[in-house]
Amino acid sequence: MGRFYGTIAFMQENKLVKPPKQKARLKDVFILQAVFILFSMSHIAIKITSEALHAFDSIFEAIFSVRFIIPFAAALFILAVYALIWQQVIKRFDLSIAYANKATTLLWSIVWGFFIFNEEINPAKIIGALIVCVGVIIMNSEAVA
Amino acid sequence: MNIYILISLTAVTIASFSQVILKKSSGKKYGSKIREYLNPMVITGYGLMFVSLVFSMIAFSGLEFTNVPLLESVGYIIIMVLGYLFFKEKITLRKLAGMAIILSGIFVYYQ
Repeated sequence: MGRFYGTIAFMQENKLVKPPKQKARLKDVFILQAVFILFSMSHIAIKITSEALHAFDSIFEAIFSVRFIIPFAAALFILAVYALIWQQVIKRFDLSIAYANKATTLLWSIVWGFFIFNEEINPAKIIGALIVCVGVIIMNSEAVA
Repeated sequence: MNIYILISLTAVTIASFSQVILKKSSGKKYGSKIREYLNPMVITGYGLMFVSLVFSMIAFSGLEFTNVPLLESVGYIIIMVLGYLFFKEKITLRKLAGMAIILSGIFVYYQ
């Protein structure tokens, strides 16, 4: 058996047969989701930043305040880490499938909105976000199956 | 057509092309990890994303807040088409079904 697979590997290396398309694993789907949870966190930082802008009389005063600088730096940091991981993760997925996962940020925006900004949750939002999740799972099943 | 809708759709299209460039770059072999990120394609990709952000901001100024994410969801469709054109990604029935469900979920969310 070992020899058999060795032969296939040899043929693949020498392009005698087409190597199988690399399938994503379940682990990769979790990484993909984690990267968009991270991305949705940048929205938290951006929202705090914009609130800081409104809290001061002048823009100039605002952008040199700790209230602005810390969340602004956090947003940049989060987006930089997101970009680093994204570049790795899109190697393993069809772009259309990887990008569709972004839609789950709707769900996370409800979670952050509720727990961090005390925003109200309405049923339409929850139902909509859950429908989106079903769609994303169907998309991902194409990549992992 | 409302000019702001057009600007928003332009932003989405630019962002979609930036993803294509990033994906193109991710498929290449580079000498070092740093080169994987600091190369003309990745820099162009993120540059375009910045341009798209500026367009989005302009669009925000003329559209109701909730309309912008709705317009941005057009990006999922554009990227599926670009994936087919540039990477020969198959548009399967399952992908279309997933996409239709995602889009309907987004409409329910913002209704």
